[in-house]
Amino acid sequence: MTEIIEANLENGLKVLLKPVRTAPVATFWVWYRVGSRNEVPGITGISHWVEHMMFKGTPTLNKGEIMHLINRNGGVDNAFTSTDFTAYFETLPSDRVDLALRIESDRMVNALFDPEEVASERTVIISEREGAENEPRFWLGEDVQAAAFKVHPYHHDTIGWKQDLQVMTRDQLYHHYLTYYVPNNAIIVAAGDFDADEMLKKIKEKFGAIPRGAAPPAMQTVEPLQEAERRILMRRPGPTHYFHAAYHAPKATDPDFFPMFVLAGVLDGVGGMSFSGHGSPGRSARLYRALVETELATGVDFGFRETLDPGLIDVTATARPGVPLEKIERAIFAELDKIANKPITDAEFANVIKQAKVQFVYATDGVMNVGYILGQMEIVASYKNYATFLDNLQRVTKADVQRVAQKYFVETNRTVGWFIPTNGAPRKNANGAKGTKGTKNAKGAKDAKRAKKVVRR
Amino acid sequence: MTLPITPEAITRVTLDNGLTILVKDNPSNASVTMRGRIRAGGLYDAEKTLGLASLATAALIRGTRKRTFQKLNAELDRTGMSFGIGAGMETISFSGKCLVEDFDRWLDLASDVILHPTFPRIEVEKLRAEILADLKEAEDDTGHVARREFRMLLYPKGHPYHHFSDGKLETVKRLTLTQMQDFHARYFRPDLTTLVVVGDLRAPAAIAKIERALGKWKATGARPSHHIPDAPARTQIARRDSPLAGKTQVDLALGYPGIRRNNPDYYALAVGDLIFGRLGLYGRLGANVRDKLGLAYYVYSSVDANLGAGPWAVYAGVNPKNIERAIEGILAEIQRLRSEPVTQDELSEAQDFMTGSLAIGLETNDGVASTLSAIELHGLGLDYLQRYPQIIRGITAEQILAAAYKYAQVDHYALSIAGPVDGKA
Repeated sequence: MTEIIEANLENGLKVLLKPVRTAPVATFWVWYRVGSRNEVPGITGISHWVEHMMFKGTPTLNKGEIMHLINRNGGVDNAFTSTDFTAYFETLPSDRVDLALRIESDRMVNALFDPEEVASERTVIISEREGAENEPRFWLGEDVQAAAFKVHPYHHDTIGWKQDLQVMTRDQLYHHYLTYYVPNNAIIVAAGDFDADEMLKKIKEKFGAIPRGAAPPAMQTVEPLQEAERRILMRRPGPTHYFHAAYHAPKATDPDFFPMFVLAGVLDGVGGMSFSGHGSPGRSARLYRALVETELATGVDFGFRETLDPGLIDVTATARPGVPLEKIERAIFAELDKIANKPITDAEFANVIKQAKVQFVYATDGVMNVGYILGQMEIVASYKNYATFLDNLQRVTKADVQRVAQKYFVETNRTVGWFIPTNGAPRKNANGAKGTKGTKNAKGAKDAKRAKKVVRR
Repeated sequence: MTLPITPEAITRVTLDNGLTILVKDNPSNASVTMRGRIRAGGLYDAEKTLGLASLATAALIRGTRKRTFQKLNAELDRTGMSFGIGAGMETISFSGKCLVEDFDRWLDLASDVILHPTFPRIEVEKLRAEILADLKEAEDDTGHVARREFRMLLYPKGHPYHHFSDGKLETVKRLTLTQMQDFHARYFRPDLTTLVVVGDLRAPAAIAKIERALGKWKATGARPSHHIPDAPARTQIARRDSPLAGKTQVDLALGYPGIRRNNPDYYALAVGDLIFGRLGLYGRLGANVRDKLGLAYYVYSSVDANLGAGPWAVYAGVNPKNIERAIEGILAEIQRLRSEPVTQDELSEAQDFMTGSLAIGLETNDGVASTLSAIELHGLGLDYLQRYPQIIRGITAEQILAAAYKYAQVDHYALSIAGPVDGKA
């Protein structure tokens, strides 16, 4: 792999370039340092809604025109909002990449927020939330998250509370846009088939004249130390029992991050690191063996991801029909105690290192993956972690892993959620036919988890 | 652009035992992607053995001559390799990914699984219980229930597409080990199998390795016939509402039995469908039903053209109070598509997209492997991508209109709705 080139424009815009000349394709991303962590009560979900409005027109690009231009040029585009960022990308044949620069430089400053468009998008956004509400695990996860964070904005899901979505105004949305969509709060990442000097020159032409904005307000809320275990007991219609334990976790820049990454791998296999990637199956890892092999659960997942502020480790499981949640809980806590009480084995450690190495190779197949991984790392820590990630992992000791287990897996650091179905078996329809869309395993659950905080346009 | 798939760039061989191998050498990433396909699947399940192909195939990794399930799992986790196998209605697919240095090991594992499964009782029972739990969970999934009932309306009893390949609770419960072993013995044949390998490998060496691993695999008996009948044409509206408790939104499916991939109308319908419900953010459906009317978060169409004629349908997620308006909006778009030609602007945009975006789909090993596998399945030829732009550019608005008129009706459709509905419809 070639080096990553960093440049900083005078208006505060940071640029990261990575030429990859294996296919005639280039990807262009703009990452804004704004997400649901920058939201206060009353405007929850606003970052995600602003993302939707970025496709609704500027004075020079009418609503829908971005899409037509991308189609005409054989490209793909999309956008994502998470707790910590909002990202936009276009991937195009490399001789068409100028189009991406035109679109992104335009909507960084010129989005219209037409009141009629805001109104029609409100129903779309609410529908998006309602689609998630069909999933029993969404309700449980949302409540566990809200209980785990009393004051930090990680309290609410990226989609926002429905009551806020119903009343938020056009002016609030526009204000949010003006506050955070400034070059000094953004990162450009481009990867693919281009010459770095030429690309930088083009970026300067298109983005250099955009004036620096006022520094966006710093998000200063710190979650107070949790003093007691919190419990959610949710009774709703659903097909089975679900378990969810959330622990406050180290943030991406915390020295505990890498030991926790190794620990996560020992418990559940290393997750996919790329945009499209799938992690290791993790069926020889401890949680699968303790929960699925023993026939307590049909799937189990240890969700740990890189965040800007201390986030959550989400340990979730789907109960086998007839297995009480007490048993699931006991088995999961026993595994967490075990890793705190006894060092992991050399073989387990070696597995995690190998899986991480392999995932890194997979994550560099294709420019879209490269653009994603660089931007995401820069948001939560530094793109430089890309080069040092595997070394940092290898520097972790077995004692470090045991230490973080002892530190984080304590009763006072956890919020436990139980989902108890109220309707027993779901109602049969007229002819009682059944089927399934596929056998889920722990692996599928893991990927779903990683994507959870990313809401697709 | 230089296409990664041309007759010159791909090595395609058929071994003496009938196994077809396609290799694409790509030195730019140190990984290898595998995609395999066996022309067999749930289409052979009887009404009483629904889910057999699916369960038997999923059971293969649960124990083999050389590996227990646990040993296989440990091997995958130790190497970071992946291996997955599953049966659909028409084909059984297997796939994997590994570092180039682990390719031999991957082949050893794959051939062990495909050729020498042992179906250990304890492990198969664990798997069966997991599948039954998943089937039960799926019954609470609005999207799943809507699609499942939709297929039942669209295809008559006895047609493979009347059900999903995963089977039903009551049939999966009763499948026997002997049935699974028989399924494997009968349908896992090299002469029904294609293996695509893309990655940092030289073709002759890769083929030699595959031959060592799979060359001794032998087909016995006559090749089973692979036939999926046509569905009878629709003559009326069929609607089924499936109530599910505790849901906020309904999922709906509305459409028709579509066409086979080898139908001469395929390209016209595919381009028309792109304009209708896919291009950009869900095409015309997105622009009108989602954006202008604000009735759905998602609404899109899909032509499921396979070896058999899968559905051509619209899928949407809708607030229960908007169901009837959303259906009206969808039907209005269907009526427009089958009564007026698409505009030249729409057509050329769709053509630009289909031809221009080829490069992006072929950017990764996975993308090349999937494309190659589909080309082989449908017998399109290794020059397919070279011919493709001309095929797409040759489609006219009149051909699209004729295809839409032929395959979609506004008064003869199947409609399935699942979620917070009263179930009286």
